[in-house]
Amino acid sequence: MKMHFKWTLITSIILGFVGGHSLAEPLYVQAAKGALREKPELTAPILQELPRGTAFESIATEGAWYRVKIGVKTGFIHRLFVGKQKPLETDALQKLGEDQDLAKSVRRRSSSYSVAATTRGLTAGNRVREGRDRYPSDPEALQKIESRQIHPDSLRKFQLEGGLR
Amino acid sequence: MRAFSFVLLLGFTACATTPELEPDTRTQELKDEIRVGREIASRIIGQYGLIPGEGSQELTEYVNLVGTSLVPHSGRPEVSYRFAVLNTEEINAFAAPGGYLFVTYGLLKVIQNEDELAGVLGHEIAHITERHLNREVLPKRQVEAGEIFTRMLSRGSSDLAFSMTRMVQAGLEILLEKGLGPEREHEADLGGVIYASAAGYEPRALGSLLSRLEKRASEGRLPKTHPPFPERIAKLSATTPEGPASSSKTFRIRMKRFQEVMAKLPRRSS
Repeated sequence: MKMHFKWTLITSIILGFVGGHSLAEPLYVQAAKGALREKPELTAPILQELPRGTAFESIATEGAWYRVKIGVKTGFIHRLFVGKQKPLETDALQKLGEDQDLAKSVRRRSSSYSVAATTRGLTAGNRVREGRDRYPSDPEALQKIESRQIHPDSLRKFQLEGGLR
Repeated sequence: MRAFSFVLLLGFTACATTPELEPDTRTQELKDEIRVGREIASRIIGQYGLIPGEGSQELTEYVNLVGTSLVPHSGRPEVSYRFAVLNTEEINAFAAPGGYLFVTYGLLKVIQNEDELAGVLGHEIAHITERHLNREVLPKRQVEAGEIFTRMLSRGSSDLAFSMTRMVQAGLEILLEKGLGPEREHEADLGGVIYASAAGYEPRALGSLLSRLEKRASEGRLPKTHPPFPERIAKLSATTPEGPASSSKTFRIRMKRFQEVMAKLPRRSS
C-alpha cells in the first residue's frame, strides 16, 4: 500500500511537471513589427504585422518558424523576431551606456560580476595581465562613436529614398 | 527514495527552462552587458583604429544610417546600436555586447552595394540579439533552478569569482582569434537575411557577398574565425528565395548612394 502511494505520487509529479511544461510558454514579439506570414518562408505573403509586445503561444515549430494562431488567423513568425521575455521599454534604456565612465570601468572589478557563474574555461592571473597589454584600448575613439547621433529626419529621408520600411 | 529525488529533480529542471525575469533585473543585465561591451569595443578600436581622413565621417554616418534602419526590425531594438568602420584591410566585421558593431574597410571594399552592407550589419546585429558572445563570457544574473541542482550535484567545485577583466579578455579572444563557432555564425547569417529583408533590403544580397568572398578566400585576408564559405552559402541558400537579386529602382538608388560614399574615400594601396 505504501509502495502504491509512493508511485502514485511520483506519477502525479511527473504528469504535473511535464503537463505544465507542455502548455505552450508565452512568446512576445520583440521587433517593432513582427510579420505573421502565410507560410514559413521569407517571401510568403504577410497576413498581419504584429506590434512589439504582442503575446502569443506557439502551436508548433517548422524549422526556425513558429506556427501561431492570432485571433482567427493562423500563420508563421520567425523566431529571430520573438523572445520569451516581455520586451523592455526603450525610453528608460536610451542613455544606459553613456552614464558609465569608461576609464573607471577599466579598473572596476564590479561586484555585480561576482555573482554565481561558472568559469567557462577561463584562467586568471598572468593571462589577464597579458591580455591587457595585447589589446590596448582607445577610450577616446569609443566616446567619439558614442557621441554620434542620427537625426530622426535624416534617417526617415534615407529610408524613404531607398524604399525601406 | 533515490528514484523519487531524481524524478523531482527532473521535474524542477523541466519547469525551470524560462523563468520570467523582473524588468529591473533585465535592465541591470543590459547595463552589465554594455559595461563589458564598451571595454571590448574600446580594445577592438585600439587594435585597428577607426578609419581616418577625408570621407571617413560621411562613410561612418552612412553605415550608421544603414544599420539603424535595421534595428527596429531586429529582435532587440531596445539596444543602442553604434556602427563604426575599422582602419584595416582585413576582411571582417565584429559585434561587441551592448550594440557596438564594427565593419572593416577591407570588407567595405569587397561589398558592392547597400543591400550587401545591410546583410553584413544584420549578421552582426543578430550576434547581439541572440546574445552569442554574452553566453560565452557574461555570468547569468538569475540562476535557474536546474543550474542550482547541477551545482549541488557538483558540490560547488566551480570557481565563482568572475572579474570584468577576465570577461573582456575572453570576449576579445573569441572575437579576434577563436571565433564564435559555426552554429552561431550560421544563425547570424540567417539573422542578416531576416533583418535586412524585413527592413526592405534584398534577401539574396548576403548570399551574393558570401559567394564573392569565397572566390577571394585564396588571398588569405579572410578571417579564420568564421566557418568555410561553401558551408555558409549552402546553409543560407536553404532559407533565401531562389532567383537573381533584385534590380528594382530603389535597389539601384541604394547601390548608387553606397558607391558615392565609397568613392569619396581616398584611394590607398592594399
